[in-house]
Amino acid sequence: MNFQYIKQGLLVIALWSAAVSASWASSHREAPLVSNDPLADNVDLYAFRSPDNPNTITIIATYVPMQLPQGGPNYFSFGQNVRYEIHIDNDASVPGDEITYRFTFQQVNEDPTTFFNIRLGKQNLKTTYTLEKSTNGGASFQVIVQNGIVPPPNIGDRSIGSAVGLNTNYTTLMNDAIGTATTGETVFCGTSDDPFFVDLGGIFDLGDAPRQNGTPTDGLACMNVSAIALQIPISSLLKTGAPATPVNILDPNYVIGVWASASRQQIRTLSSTGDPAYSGNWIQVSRLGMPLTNEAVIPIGKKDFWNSITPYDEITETTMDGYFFNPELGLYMDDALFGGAVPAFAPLRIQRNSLQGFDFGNGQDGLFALKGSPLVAGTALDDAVFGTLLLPGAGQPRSVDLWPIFHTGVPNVRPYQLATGKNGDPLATGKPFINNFLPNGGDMLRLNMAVPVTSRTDPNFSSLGLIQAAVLGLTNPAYNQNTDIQAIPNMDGFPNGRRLEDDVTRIELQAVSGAVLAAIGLWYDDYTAGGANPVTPDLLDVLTYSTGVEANDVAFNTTFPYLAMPQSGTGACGGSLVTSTNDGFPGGGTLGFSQKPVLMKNYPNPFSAQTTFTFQVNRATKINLRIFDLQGKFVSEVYQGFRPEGEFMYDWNAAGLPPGMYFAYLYDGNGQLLQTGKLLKQ
Amino acid sequence: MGFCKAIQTLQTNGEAPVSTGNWVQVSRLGMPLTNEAVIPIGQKDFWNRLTPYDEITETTLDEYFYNPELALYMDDALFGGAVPAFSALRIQRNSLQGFDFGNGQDGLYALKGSPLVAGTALDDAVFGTLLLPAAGKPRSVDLWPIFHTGVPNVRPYQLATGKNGDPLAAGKPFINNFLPNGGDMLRLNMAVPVTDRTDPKFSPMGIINAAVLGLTDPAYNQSTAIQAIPNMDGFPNGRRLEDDVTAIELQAVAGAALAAIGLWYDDYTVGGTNPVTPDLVNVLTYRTGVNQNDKAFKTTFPYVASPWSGTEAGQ
Repeated sequence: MNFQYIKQGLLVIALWSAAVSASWASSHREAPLVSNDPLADNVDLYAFRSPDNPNTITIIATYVPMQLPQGGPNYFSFGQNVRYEIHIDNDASVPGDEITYRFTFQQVNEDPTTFFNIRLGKQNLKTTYTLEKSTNGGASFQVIVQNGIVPPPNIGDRSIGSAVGLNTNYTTLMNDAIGTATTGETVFCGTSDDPFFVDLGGIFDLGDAPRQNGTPTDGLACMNVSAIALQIPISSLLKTGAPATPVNILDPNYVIGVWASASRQQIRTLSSTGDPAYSGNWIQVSRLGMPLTNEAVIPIGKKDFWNSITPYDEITETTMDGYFFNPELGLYMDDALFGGAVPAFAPLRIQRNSLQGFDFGNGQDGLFALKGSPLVAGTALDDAVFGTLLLPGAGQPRSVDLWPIFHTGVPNVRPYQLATGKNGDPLATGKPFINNFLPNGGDMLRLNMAVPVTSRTDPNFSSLGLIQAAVLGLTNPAYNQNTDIQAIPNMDGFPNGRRLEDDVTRIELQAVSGAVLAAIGLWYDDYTAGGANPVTPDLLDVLTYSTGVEANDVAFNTTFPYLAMPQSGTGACGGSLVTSTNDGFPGGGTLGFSQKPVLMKNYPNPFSAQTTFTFQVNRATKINLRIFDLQGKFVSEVYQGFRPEGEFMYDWNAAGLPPGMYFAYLYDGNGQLLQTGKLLKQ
Repeated sequence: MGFCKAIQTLQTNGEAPVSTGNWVQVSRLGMPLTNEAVIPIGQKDFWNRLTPYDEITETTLDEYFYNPELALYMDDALFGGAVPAFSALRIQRNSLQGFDFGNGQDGLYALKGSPLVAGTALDDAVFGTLLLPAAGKPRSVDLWPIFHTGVPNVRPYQLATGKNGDPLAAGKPFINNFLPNGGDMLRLNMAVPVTDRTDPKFSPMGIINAAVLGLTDPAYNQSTAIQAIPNMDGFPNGRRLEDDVTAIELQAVAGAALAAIGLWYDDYTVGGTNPVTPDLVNVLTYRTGVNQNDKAFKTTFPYVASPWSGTEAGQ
C-alpha cells in the first residue's frame, strides 16, 4: 500500500468504519450469474516467467472470491462438482488449446461426529485433487496428479498448531502440498491470501478511485482465495517447430495465450434426502484471461454471455468488440462526454487531437483516416499485412490499441514500437518493447516467454509493468539511445503476461486514457507536433495517476507458488481489528459503541512505519493510549491527555520497532480499559 | 427456510439457468447455532432438509442434544482440558450430591416414576416420556426441550426462588414457551411484556439474566408469584436482536438452566446457605468477548442497522 496518498484531513470519515472487515463490495463477482455461484467463479489469472526459475513459466488461477479467513465452521474450498481448467494456446494456426489442464476436487470427512473442521488430528471436508492434462485440444485427457494434497483452511493456532489440532504449522502444510506431475509440472492447489489489490469500494462507487473524499482502501486486503498454481518448463509450452532457444527476446515463436475457466454439469437435481445429483454435458460458467475485461469493459447485459463463450469463439463472435473500440470507461476520460462526472479520473484524458490530427474520443475515427494510405504501407495497419483487424471501420478509434491488447496481443511491428528513434513519426520504426502477438481468438493473457525476467529486487522493478518499460525506453539513457532490441526492465510485466505484483487496475485505466498510444508517439493534445518535449503535463498526469492502492496487503513469497500464506481465521484479519472489552456481568444496557466515552480506530492496519489513531471523544475525558507487544511487554505510550468532545488524530511512528503484532490499550482517566486493538506492523 | 426447484439446467448461451420440478428445502433455521454447533458435520445437510414437524418422528438427531458434543469440552473427565477457553464452563457432575449431567450419565433419570416427580413435567403421566426417555441421556431435561418443545411453566421448570432447596418444588415462574409441535423452532410466548431497550436492567443475556434477577434481586425474589422479570422476553423465549445467543447457549450447555431451577453446581453442598458458588459465578460471568453487535440497532422497524457502505468497508 502506498501511503503517500493518504491525506490526513480525509481520514476521519473512512476511519470510523475500521472496526469491521466483513461486508464488501465485489471485484470478482463480476457477472450476475456467476456471482451467485462463487465456487465456480474465476477470480484472477497470472502468467509470468518464474523469477527464481527462469526456464519455467508460472501460471496461477484463483477462484472463489472474497473469502473471509474466519468463515467457519465450513471454510471455503474448491467445489467438488466443478471442472477448473487452465487453457494454453501457442499456435494461432491450430484451432483451440494446445494444452489443457483440468483440476477436479474431492472431499472426505475424517471425523463426521464433530461440528469442528479440525479436531484431534482429523480433518473434515478434507480436500484432494486430480489433475488431468490434454495435448490434443481436449479430445482426451491423461491423469498427471492423483490424490494431490490441498492444505486445510488456516483456521487458527489451535486447529493448525496445537496437539488437539493438527500439531503442525501452516508453512509446512503449504510446502507439503507442492507436488510434481508425472509430466514434469510443479503444482499447488490451496487457499492463499488473495494476491489482487484494488480499491473495490472506491472504483465501483461510480469510478471514485482515487477517492475524492476518503482514504484509498484495498478492498481485498485480509481476504483469502482458492488458488491453482502450475510451474511449467518453457520447453513444454513451446509451439511445434519453435527453436529451442529464442532468436531474440521478442521471438514470436515464444508467445503463449493463457485463459482459465470453470464448468459445471448441465443438470443439477436436488434430493429431498441426500446429496444433489449432477448429470449432463459440462457447461462453462466462468472464464478469465485479461484482468477486468468482464468487470469493467463488458456491460452487465453481456457479462453472462461473455462467461459462456471461449476466446476462440470470439474469432467469429464479434458483437462485443464495440466495447473495446469505444469503451465505456472512455466516456469518463473525455471532457466532451462525461469526464466532468468522474472527478477521480481527472488526470486521465484521452487524446482528442493527437499530433493535431487524430481524435481517439469515443465515436471518433482514431487512425482510420490513414487506412489504405501509403503512410501505413508495411505497418500493422496495412490491410495487406494484418487484414482489417486493426482498422475495421470509421468511428472505432480504439481498434488500434485497446482491441488488440485484449484480443490478439501486440506485434513487434510498426507502429507498435516506442517513439524512441521515430523522430516524431509514430508510424516509423522505433524501439521494440513488446511482442505478444498471437491472433488466435479473443481474450487471453498473452506472454512472450523469451522476454527476460526482471528481478523483484531490481531498483527498476515496477508494478506498472509494460507502462514502466515504455517510460524507461523513452526516457532512460540506458535504453533510449537507439532502436535496438534491448531487455528493458518490466517488459516481462502486464500486459505481457501478468505478474502478481502488477497493478493492472492502474495500468488498464492508463491504457484506456491512451497511454499506449502516447508510448508509440501519438502524444497528448498539449504537445504540438514538432515540439521539443513530448513529455507534457497531460502525459505526466496519466503516468502519475494512481488509484492509491498499488500493492498487495501482504508480501509475496520468493519461491513457488509465490502466493502469500492464507490469512488465519484468528489472525489480524480474522474479524474485527478493534475489539471491545468492557462489557460486564450481568449485562449492562449498552447498545452500540456510541455510548462509550471514547472510540478508537487506526489506519492503516497493517502498516509499515506509521499508523494514525483517530479518537472519537463522546464525553470529555482523560485518555491514555498504550502499546504492548505480543509478550505483553510495554512498548510505548502513544498519547496521554485530557480531551474535550470531538474527534482528533494522533500519529504513532513505529519505524524503529520490529515487525509483528502489537496491542493498543485505551484507558480512561480512571485507568479503566475502554478498548483494545490489534496492530500489525509489516 | 430456503427452497430451490429440484432440477436446474444450465444454458449454453449465458442465459439464466432453467429451474423445474418440485421445490426442495435446502436450508432452514429455528434456534440459533443448532446446525452450527450441535449437529455434527455428517448430519448437517440432512438436518437442513427436514422440517421441525419431521422431527416428531425423525428422532435420530435427538442424541446430539441428550449428549451434546460441546459438553465434551466442559467436563474435566472428558476433553475439558483440551479447550482452555471453556474452563469457566463446567457441567454439574454431582449436583446436590446426587445428579450427574455429564455426557453418558443419567441426569435425573433415577427419579423416573418416583413419587418425587409426580405432578411435575417429569411425570410420565403429565408429559409422557418426552423428558426422561431413557438412561444415559442426561440433557433430556434441559437442552432437548429448550430446542424441541419449549419449556412449560410447570415444576421443576421454575426458578429455585421459593423452592427451599427442593428443585422439584414450586418456584418462581420465569418461562412458558412450551409448544410440543415438533422440533427446532424459535418459541416465543407473546404474552410476556417487553423489556425496554433503555431499561437499566435490559441485558443481552436474555432469560439467563431474568433468572439471575429472579434469584438474586429483592424486587423479584421475595415470592413465587408470577412477575414480569426483565428479559423474560429474551432468548430462548424468542430471540431479540441484542441477545448474545452464543454466550447464552454455551452457558446453557454448561448447565445454567439446571442451576436456575435449583440443580446447583458441584461446589454447593445440599443445605448450604449460598448456592451462588464460584462454579456458578464462573458460568454466569463467562463471555466470549464479543458481546454485542458492531453497529447500534435502530429503535424502530425494521430495527436492523443500515448496511455498511461499499466505501466504508475495509477501512
